[in-house]
Amino acid sequence: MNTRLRGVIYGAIGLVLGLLFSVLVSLILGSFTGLGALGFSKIFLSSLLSKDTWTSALPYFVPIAASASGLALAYRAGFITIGAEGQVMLGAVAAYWLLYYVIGHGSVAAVTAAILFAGLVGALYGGLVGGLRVGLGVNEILSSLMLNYIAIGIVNYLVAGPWQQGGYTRTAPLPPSMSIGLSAAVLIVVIAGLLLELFIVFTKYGVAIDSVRLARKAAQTYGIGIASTILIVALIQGFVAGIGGGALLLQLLRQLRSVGLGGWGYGYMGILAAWLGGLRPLGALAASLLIAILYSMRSTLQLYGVSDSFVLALEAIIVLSVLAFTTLSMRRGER
Amino acid sequence: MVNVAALLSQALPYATVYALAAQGELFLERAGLFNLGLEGMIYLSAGVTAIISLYTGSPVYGLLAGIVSSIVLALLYGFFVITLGADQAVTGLSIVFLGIGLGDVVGRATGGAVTPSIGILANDLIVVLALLVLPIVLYFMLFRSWLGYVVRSLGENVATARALGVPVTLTRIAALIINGALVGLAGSYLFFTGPLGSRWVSMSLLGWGWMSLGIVILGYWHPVGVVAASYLVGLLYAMRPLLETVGIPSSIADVTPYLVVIIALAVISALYEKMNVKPPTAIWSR
Amino acid sequence: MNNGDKRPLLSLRNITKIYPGGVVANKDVSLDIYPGEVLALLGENGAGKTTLVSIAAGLIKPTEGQILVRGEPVIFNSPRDAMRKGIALVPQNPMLIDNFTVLENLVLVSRLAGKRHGIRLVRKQLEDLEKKYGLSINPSAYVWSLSFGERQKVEILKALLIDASIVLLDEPTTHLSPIEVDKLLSLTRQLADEGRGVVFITHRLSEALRVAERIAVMRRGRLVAIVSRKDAHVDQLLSYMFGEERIKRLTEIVKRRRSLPRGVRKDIVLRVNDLWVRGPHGGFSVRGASLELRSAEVLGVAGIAGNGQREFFEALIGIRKPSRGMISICGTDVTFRDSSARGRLGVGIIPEDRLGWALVPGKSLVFNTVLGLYSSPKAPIRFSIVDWRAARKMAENIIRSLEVKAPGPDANAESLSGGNMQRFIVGRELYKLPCLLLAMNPTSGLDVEAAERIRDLLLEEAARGAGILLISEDLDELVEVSDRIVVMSRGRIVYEAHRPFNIDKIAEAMTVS
Repeated sequence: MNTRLRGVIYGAIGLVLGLLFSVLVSLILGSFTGLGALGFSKIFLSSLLSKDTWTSALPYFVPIAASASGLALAYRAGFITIGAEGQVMLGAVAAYWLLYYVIGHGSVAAVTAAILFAGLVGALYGGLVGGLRVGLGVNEILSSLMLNYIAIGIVNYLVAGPWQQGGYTRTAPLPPSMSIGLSAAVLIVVIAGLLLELFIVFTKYGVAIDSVRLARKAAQTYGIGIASTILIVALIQGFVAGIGGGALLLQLLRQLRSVGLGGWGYGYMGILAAWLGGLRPLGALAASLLIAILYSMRSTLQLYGVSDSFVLALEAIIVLSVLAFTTLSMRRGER
Repeated sequence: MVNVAALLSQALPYATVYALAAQGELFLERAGLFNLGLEGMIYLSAGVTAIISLYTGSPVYGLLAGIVSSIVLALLYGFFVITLGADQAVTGLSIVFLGIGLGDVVGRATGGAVTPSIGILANDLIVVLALLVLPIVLYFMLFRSWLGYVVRSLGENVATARALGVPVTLTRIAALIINGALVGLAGSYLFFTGPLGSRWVSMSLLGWGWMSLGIVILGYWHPVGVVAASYLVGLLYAMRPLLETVGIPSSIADVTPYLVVIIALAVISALYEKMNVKPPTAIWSR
Repeated sequence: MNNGDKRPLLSLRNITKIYPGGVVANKDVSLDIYPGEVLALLGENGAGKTTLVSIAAGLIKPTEGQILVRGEPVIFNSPRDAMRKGIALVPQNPMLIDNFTVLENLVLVSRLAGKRHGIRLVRKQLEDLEKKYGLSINPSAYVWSLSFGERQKVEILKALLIDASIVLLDEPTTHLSPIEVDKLLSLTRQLADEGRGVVFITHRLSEALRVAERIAVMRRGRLVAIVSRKDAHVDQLLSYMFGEERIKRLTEIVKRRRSLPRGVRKDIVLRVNDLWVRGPHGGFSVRGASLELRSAEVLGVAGIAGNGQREFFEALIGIRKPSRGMISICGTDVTFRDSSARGRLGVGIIPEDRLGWALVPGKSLVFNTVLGLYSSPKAPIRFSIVDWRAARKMAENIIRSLEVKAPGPDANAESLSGGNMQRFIVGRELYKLPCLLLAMNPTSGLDVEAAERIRDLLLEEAARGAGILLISEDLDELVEVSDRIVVMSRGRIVYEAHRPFNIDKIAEAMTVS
């Protein structure tokens, strides 16, 4: 059978089965939340179907999807960075700096420049991970993680030092003129994801990226630069995540505050979304929406005493279930 | 003046957590699997330790329960990777989220109450185990006994090992249990003696598992190297207050360990290769 | 020898092996091995010999059939079970852990075989074995530092260490020099004389006749005949191996080949000057190799495996950086440039491994077409955009013109058989209309007919005007197709031969260092 079609069919079967299975598991777990399985599922459903959940999910969708679509590209090349978290943060920092401290007034051009600058800083941060891997053989999982913590340190330093405004450790909020609407933020990220999908499917870099992961030696032999492919992927991934961070700041955050060790978490959720989306930017967008919705449900669920960490565990269960069933059905497909 | 002796001993609790977790991971990676889920396993173990110690009133039960919970996560990882043949990176990352999520759910159930803690003797015992006994045992087991050859053959070339008749699945399950147990012990110990001091505070035990993964590389997959790296990083943590006293902002002092690790990661491998210490081929090759 | 009064050590009864996917590797094979005899298992590549001994050694499970050791039925769930019954396999490609020392490898195996040998005892036993069999080896040497012959020695030591009563040698002479072959054959004899049962797999008639009491011939998974050496005739064995009709076809192929037109040799398409290349573990693998190749010429590079051919090939195709020297292709200096520079010059590359080196597993033939042509001017890529429709047409053309048996251009590259994969690869490289074709062991593992097809394709390409550098371990192949042969030994070109070739001289050069 057609390999491409078969992959999609079996992937889809795995996805559906995995989602069903994770609903089952979460019902069982939900029965321990003190609400009982039925009570939990009722609340879960009503929260899932409420309009508020969906609209409040979209702001989170922006950084998650920006992280996920770029990470999908990176993982396709076998470059397992988890640095989107730090890139989102530094993107936000960069956008804030350019807009608030350099340009100083809001306009379409200023906002555009701020978001592009956020992407640039994200790309540099991503490029650092790629460069360390290519140049010195440093494991990208660890270097990107360390850089995430360093990004947290940078934010905490700024909000408690040079950029601090008032008594709390946070910056001054951006004036309303320096902002973008929700629809604009979503549009930016969706377009970025779409461009990445086209990049994979139609440019020669798509061939290069897949070959580097699946058969490094073959890639090398027929003229694909391993180092340059990884660097390109690292830069693009960082760029998109940085844009997500910029858009997040201009749309939702409006100011920077001190951060705990867990970071903001959007970049980490993007990792799950990237795998959930089958390592395709478009799939990653869809998966990001799902994860953003689950994330925004946590406030509703909290009202009923379900802790927000439970939602995190739920996300992991969904990814694991989908992973289990897609792996299984893909294996069956090979036979 | 800086009290060097105090500093050196302040590094011990940090080093113990890292040494336990990193040696657990080292053993697994020598068997050819890499479990990125350490962060989640430590967190879950800490949470389970908290609640069980509180309910039973016995820190020992708490410790054991924490270890068991971590083994369960390790075996879940094994189920995905060995039985289903799923991707190791994505499975490990999911384990991180699962462990943090579940760990926080159970940890919060303590309501932030102070739980009974292990005594000084038990504490010292764990420190000695982690920093002295374990590296020696692991070194002789891995590099000087045939059992170690069996384990390491899986980290070098699993196809050949299988063809030689090495019981691949069985050995790896054993390695996963050891991995889970040591990482779980790290989590329990962290809960009792870490920054929280036997009291659960949400999201404050983050970063330990990740750093342990880095320490495995810093120690270049060698038990002695791993323990040395653990102590070095522990020392960096213990030095943070010192850095603040000389005028470095706390947010910057906080990131020094990460900064040092990333620089060390970049320069250290050449040094080890010169000493003929080699990472398991299946996990990492330069 | 009279086997009538002896009980067989090992009996294979009605062994059938069908691989998932339906390939029948063994069909109803029954075979007895007696103590004190060498049984040669003769057959061409793909006849099912390796599958049969792998079943006997517990590496794979038979679909049907029974194994008896000393008359007692056994079931092997793992190679360990077979080793514990005294069956040792010396595989064609040594199965050793590269980053382990010789001693570590041996201790591991003897423990798995159920021997309670400690590290010290194994070291002691090694000394004894060295005295008895002359198998000297440094136990603390890392396996990666050993030559192919030395690795094989370690494999044989494994068999002796676990005191195997049945030794299965799978194509043991493939990578050995003539002198090493002589030594191995006398060692084989010694093993049998001590009462062991030895199975000696080979596709070379001469070796079978030299070493074995009985010769079992396999063809297409079936055991077609067992003859004792004194009754054996070469012609008859050949017809057992290939079948009458096949022999006729093969002779025709060779006849047709001799009449192929030869192209006109003109420009130098490849010039290598004093090339030094480091191996994967530091030291120099290629030490000052020089050669020249003209268009329409086939230059064979002969040599025993592990004498630097692989590193030489990798340096030529641009994936291993030379330390010094010069490589110039079609007049352009490409010494320190990567493979894309070769691609732009239109160099065709046929690597040693098909999956993972020539083809990306899990991807379609269309994808693999684009990959192969990635940096070539003929690529279906314009301004970095892939023209998938054109790529598909190319894949279809390759499949049609080279008669590749594949469901279609979207078929997974992995799903093709070895011969079809290789035809697809060659077809893809020919699509570049290469001025230079670099090939390494292009027919390894293929059955005779598939191999001949590949050789024909190479010769046709030379007739068109491409210069062809053929690095091969198969001296017969090189003699068959080359215009000129150079011999590589210890990283140096030590000998150059012209048609008509003196095979003895070439073989001698391969072993002199």
